Amino acid sequence: MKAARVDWRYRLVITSRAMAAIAGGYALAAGFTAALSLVLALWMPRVEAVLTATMLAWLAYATAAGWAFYARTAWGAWGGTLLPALAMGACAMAPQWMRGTP
Amino acid sequence: MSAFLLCFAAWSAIALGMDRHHEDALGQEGSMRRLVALRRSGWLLLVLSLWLAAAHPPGGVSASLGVTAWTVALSVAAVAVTATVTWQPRRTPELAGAALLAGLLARALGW
Amino acid sequence: MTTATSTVRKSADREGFRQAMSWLHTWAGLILGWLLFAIFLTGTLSFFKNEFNLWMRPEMHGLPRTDAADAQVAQKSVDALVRKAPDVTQWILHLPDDRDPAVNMLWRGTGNGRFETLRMNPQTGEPIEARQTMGGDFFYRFHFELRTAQKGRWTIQGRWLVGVATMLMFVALITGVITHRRIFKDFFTFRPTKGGQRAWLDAHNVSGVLVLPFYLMITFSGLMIFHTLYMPAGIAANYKNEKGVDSNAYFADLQGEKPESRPRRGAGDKVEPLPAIALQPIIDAATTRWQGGRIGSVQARRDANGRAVVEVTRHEGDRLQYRPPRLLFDATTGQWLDQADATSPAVKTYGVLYGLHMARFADVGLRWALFGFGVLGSLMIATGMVLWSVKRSAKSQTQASRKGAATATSTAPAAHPKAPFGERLVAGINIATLAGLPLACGVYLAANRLIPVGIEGRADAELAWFFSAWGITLLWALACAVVRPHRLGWTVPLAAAGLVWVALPLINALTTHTHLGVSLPAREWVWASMDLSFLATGLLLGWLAWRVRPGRTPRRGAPARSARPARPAPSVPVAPAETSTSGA
Repeated sequence: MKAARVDWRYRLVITSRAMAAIAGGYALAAGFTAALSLVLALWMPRVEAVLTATMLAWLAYATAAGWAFYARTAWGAWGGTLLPALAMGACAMAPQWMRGTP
Repeated sequence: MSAFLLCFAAWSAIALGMDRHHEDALGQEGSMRRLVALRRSGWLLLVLSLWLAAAHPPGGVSASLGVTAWTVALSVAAVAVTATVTWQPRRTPELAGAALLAGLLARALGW
Repeated sequence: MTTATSTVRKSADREGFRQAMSWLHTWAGLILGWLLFAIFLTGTLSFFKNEFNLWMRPEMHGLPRTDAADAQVAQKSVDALVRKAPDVTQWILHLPDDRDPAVNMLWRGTGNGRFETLRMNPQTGEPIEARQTMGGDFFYRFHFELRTAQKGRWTIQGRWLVGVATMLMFVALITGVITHRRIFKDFFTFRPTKGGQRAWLDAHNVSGVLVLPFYLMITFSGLMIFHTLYMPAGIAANYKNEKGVDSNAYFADLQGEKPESRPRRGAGDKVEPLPAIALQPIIDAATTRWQGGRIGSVQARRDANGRAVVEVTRHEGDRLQYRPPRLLFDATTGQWLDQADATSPAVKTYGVLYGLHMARFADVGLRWALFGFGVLGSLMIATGMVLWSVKRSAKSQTQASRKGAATATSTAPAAHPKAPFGERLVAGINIATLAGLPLACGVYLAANRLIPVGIEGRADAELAWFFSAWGITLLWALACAVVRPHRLGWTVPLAAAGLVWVALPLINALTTHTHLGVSLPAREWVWASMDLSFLATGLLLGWLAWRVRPGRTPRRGAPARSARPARPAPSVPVAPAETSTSGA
């Protein structure tokens, strides 16, 4: 992350990537946990599903954080974290939406 | 105890199997074959000590406790070997040999 | 695209990846590095929290050794409690073991109040009047919730901040491994005589890599211990009920028990006081079921149906997995009802992670080894922070000298150009944390002996000494940073810390009868080893203060650009730069 010069543009990019890592990464991890645990719960007791998904979620979070700073642009950082987060969140909410319960 | 001693011997072998530490300890560059042999025997000894810890845990404790204690011993031994090659590099081979013998003895005694 | 180009591109990609991870490693580590050091150091001390609890309550000296399986111990204590508080509705009795000779009783009356604590003599059941102190539990509670007062109310916020720091540590560990270019070749490489950045980087690498399994375990298990707070999305998705999320059901599943057996009380709930309970048959039944197992604690409460139950919990040190198994009995008839234990694979894994983190399973040898790992981890964080400071100051020095300030003479004392504000701030915080925290811990222990017994709010007074010492060091460090970064900034707090820790056994001798003069002849190893460890810590800190004292390395006359040949001088924070070969 060698900056040509440390000006306001550089700081903006860094801040953006940091937000993508911290907030986008968390959203990704949370979506991952919810979606994966729901899927696993089809085959195992729900406490097992929840714990397995949660343990893996931390790795997902770390990977997302790494991606946020490896992506070629800050937009790419957000794309790589927020889009999967929204997708997985939608998967997690899908059973509810289809049943029509609040 | 035996886990620590065996791991100490093993890590020493691996260290001596590296150019830098081989030179510091023995004053001359090791041949490729010797270095590779040292490193391989080191890793082998590590695996052996792990197997001993899991299959025949000392003190009659459970296998999981034995493996945990081995993992702790692994790191303690690594620190000890680093200290040895840093401050007493020329004594490394002798200490390694002594640790190997002491480790096997300790194992036989059930420690 | 030829293969040559794609190989070049691949290795360039790998380099770009490594560089990005290196940058992330530096900043993830730096942002909350000072907090991480505090968390790691207090966590390390917490491995011995039982011993600290004992040392800080000298009134507990001389308690008789008893067997936890002896039902008389439990019965006498419960009878004494009921005499003192007849309307007790729930009590939890921790039986004595090899690390704590007293009975620890937690109890509460009606409502959803906090538990009160009573320490009791195991033979008579009579309460022990020990001085009011948080003891070793302060290190423990500061470690995971940044507790600042005995009845602190910001514990959830503290846990959140600790969680953020833990996640950053997790990222720093992983990126550190990715960034370390020669992780196998440099495995045992430590060159303290080289001085400057190389020595600091070696120290950081060596303390990081050799104990890596421990750090990964402790960090990951830390994240999992509070996963219900940090990552509840899975629970929310799977444990829905009409009112929202059925967290009671989740907690029950986590502990392998039925939700009705442990009802959560609302504030102001009216609960009936407990009936009289005969503990002998219950404890005997438990001991029989767990042949060879130790009893850790006994508790009595009412379940969701209002029935009085007694729960006997196995000693936490009997296995790796936390929580230990529990046996449920009917309180009035003594009939065995149920065994609660988590047995499914993921829950067991969670339990083992939890248990590894708390290290209740560890005997004396393992405990000291884990303590050593904790010290190395603290050193890893410390050397990382100092390394950043050293690198940055070297870079800005080279930049300044390149800008034409080529007037460094051998007579000018430490003619540093005014370093940028951020650098001086970090250098100051480094001193405040890395030297200030050890000083504050020593002061806390001294306060325990020096504050008069029996005054109001004594426990919080001890904490006030702790935070004041830390605060004063911070002021000192900031003053140094403003005036001019100088090694004196390090020497003074380190020397003060060394002095305080070395003085502890002496203060102990002057204020109590648990000092080395008593404990050594009587072979009371727990008491004696505390005093001896304090002495050793003080000597170590004093030695560090001696090593970094100003004027130790004579000033180098020539401009700082050339890499000087290494002399057998110790690494000190202001040596000129050597180009680093790896890392950020």
